[in-house]
Amino acid sequence: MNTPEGRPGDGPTPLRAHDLTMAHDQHVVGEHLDLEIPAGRFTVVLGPNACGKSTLLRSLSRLHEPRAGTVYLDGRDIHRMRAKDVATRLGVLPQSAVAPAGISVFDLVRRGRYPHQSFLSRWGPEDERSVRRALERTGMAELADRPVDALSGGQRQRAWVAMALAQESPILLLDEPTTFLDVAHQISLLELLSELNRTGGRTVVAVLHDINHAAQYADHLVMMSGGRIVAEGSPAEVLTSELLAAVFDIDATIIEDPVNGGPHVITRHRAPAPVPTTPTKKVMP
Amino acid sequence: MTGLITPERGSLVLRSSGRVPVSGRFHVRTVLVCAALLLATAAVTFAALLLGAVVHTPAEVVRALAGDAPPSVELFVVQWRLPRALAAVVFGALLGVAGALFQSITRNPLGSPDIIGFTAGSSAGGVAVLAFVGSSYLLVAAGALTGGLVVAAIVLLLSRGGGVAGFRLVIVGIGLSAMLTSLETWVVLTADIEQAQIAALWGAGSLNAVSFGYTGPAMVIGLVALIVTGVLLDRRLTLLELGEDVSASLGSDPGRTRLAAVLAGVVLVAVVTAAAGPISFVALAAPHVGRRLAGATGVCLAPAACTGALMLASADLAAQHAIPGHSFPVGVATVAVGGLYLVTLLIRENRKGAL
Repeated sequence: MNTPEGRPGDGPTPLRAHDLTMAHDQHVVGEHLDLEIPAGRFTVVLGPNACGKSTLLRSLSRLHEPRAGTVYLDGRDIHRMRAKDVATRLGVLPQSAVAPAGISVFDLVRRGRYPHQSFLSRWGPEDERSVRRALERTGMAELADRPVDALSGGQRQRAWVAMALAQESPILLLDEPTTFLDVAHQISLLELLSELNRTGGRTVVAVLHDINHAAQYADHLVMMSGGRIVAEGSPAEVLTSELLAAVFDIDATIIEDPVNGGPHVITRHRAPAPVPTTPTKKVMP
Repeated sequence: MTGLITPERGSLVLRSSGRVPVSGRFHVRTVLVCAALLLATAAVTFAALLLGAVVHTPAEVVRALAGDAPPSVELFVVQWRLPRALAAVVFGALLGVAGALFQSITRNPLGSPDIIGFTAGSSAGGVAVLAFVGSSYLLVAAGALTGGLVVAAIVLLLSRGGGVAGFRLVIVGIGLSAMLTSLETWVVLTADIEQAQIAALWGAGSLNAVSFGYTGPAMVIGLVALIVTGVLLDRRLTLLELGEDVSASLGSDPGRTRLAAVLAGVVLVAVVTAAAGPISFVALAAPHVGRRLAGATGVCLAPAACTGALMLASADLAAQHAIPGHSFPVGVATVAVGGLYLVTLLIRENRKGAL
């Protein structure tokens, strides 16, 4: 694991999965998974479709109850904690978040304060500050009064991130946050997450599809395939042609990224393995 | 204890800096709209106290309410008209909230208890009790509640595959409603003639026979259920509108919220139905109208309650006095108007492609 020193938020692993077995009804999607999310880092989970990465993220965020094994949040079994306590420690942006028709950005973001509110105290000064801060950090302050359904895809995703930020949780989990965004909005969202991680000391975990985005933004990369974690570490350690061939069935060349010096993956569809040809001997009469 | 009120984004923020911090945020337009609706409801109620076979002056009515009017005036105003007028207000509010609850959890503007069969269930339960058992409020209420819960269970079970939301729930509900209506007819036909008549009258949905003795418990139970619902479910339903995952990740259990909302909705409907028979349309339309008036989004329980109160109070006033000499059961009036509303709603939803 790469550990550049002096980062805020370094500390004991806040989120850990132990011997996790996950299943949807009868279909087991992952068995005996062990995973530690490094504190204060940007962790990216990669893997082909249906490899169990979304279910893993949902298990880590208490949305999916695993068949066996335990997820520990700050050393406590997450499924035995009160939902509101989990929510103050861990914010989630699920894959298919749809805002109700007509709701304004501000109204959406302020709902993120729910875990901090109580029966009597429903809108304190702290709530107001957090919402304002979340709107500013995501660049949504100016659009706060707009209806969410009138925003562009990228702005809408930022509004949802703002809602999760208003939760003021030290851990943020995002399931494919860049899907459905154009490339400019993908980059701008990843920059935002990276900045939240670097300057806010937040532990960020995101499931992504784009290998090079993962290479560029992740401190820690988790590669999944067929319900197992097949590799873990820094992008440079994990992203090898052998592993990419095994996991994604692609031919990949890894070069050095000329901008940041990290790995950059050039992919090609895997050519079918050549049929071994045996030299035919001409039988001379 | 000092208080602080600040205006912000069309909302008022209230804060007290006492030992226990109390704070809240109120949408100004919603508050104003609710106040206006309540004022209008009060006016309609007052009119209901004035009008009748004997028309009284406002001064007489005020004196009767204050308790120093001649016994004849008091008999008309306090004994006869007041229970009915108040029942219309309270029951209207209960139906409005029940509709808002179901529309919120089904995420469907058609998902109101009178469309998805819960009202028909309560009604069938009530009619069965009236025809075969007896006519005390508690018995009828028990029948209505059982009927409502049984139908709720069946509807939720049958529409499970399609999720609680959406088309399937509405279709299953409409089918069940039709079956229950024919069941009700059969019950009335087989019952003893006198009881059948009572049951049939009740089945039309009427506030005619209302007295404090009969509806008093209904109003008290209903108001308590209403307040508990508003306090406990309002914010949770608001979160549930963001989807199950988001709601759960913010610390509110979506399954529990939905179950509590269904139970609360069935109780509210059953309380009204047991006292007055099935009254349709109010639960369907009050939430839509209230939300639109308040210019708000989402579940909006308070505007739904205020709109429902005004609707049923007005409908009952109209049913009594619109055609001189003929007093209709209020259920007949709401069905007539509600049918038109339902048709326009279906056309609009169909255009949006929501169906």
